[in-house]
Amino acid sequence: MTDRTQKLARLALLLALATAIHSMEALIPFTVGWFRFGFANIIGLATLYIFGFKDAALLTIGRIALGGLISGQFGSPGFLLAGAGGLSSIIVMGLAYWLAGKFLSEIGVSVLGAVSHNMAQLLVAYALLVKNESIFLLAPIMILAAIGTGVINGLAGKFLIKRMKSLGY
Amino acid sequence: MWLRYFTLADIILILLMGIVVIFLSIFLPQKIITAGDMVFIQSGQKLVGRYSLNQDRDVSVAGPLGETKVLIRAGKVSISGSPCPNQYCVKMGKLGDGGAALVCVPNEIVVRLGGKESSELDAISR
Repeated sequence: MTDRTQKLARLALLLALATAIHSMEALIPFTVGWFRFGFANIIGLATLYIFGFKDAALLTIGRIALGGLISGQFGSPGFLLAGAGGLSSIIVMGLAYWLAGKFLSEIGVSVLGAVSHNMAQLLVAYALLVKNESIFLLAPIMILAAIGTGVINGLAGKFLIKRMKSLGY
Repeated sequence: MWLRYFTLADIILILLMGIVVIFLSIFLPQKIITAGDMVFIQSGQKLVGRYSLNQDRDVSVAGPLGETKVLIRAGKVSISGSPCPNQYCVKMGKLGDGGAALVCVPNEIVVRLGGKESSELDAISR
């Protein structure tokens, strides 16, 4: 098997995994409102570290599009929120990894990604749905939640990346 | 220890985010709540006036029964006179900040407080 084919197969598997996690997370019953753990971002983070930004961005776009189709939310406000959050998150994580990868571990990169994910969602919700400034009162609590999920996902991503590297990815 | 997985920069980053959270939770409510300093007057379904709560002003609004007098004084708004029989709107008193409203049902007048940006919809729920 050539390297190219191997990479394609691995990215396809990662995309399938990310889409599955993305869809299954919607089934967790106890989350409040728009709050999500963003576990699919673990795969985005690992792809960023192992295959680079371009593949990670493609994986995120693919995951959101497929996740939207699976949940039947394609094109709905919830889908737009997921899209804005996911894209800004992967862009910020790419920048953080590129600019500060020497200092920040996977955890720091993941926290930045999670915070930008939530802030982008808040902005899109304001611009398209709520159109009322009071929505920004949610900002502190959403940043706080993002720090929590960012640390959890960062730790999980760190272990996943280590494991993948030891498997020769 | 869990901390060994974090680099120094990670910890500094998380602490900085924590400071941003504290700063925002103190600063944002003030900023947003003082932004709601507009008086909106509706006659029937139509918005007939938008005034700043900080400028003293007398406004007369025409309704089906006649003129309702709205008074804006020192950051408070009240209805001072109304052609309606029961005068409930006058008895509702003065409104300062917050999102409340004065309503005169017979004369179809609604006086409410809101932010600078007033859209037709407050929120869309899914």
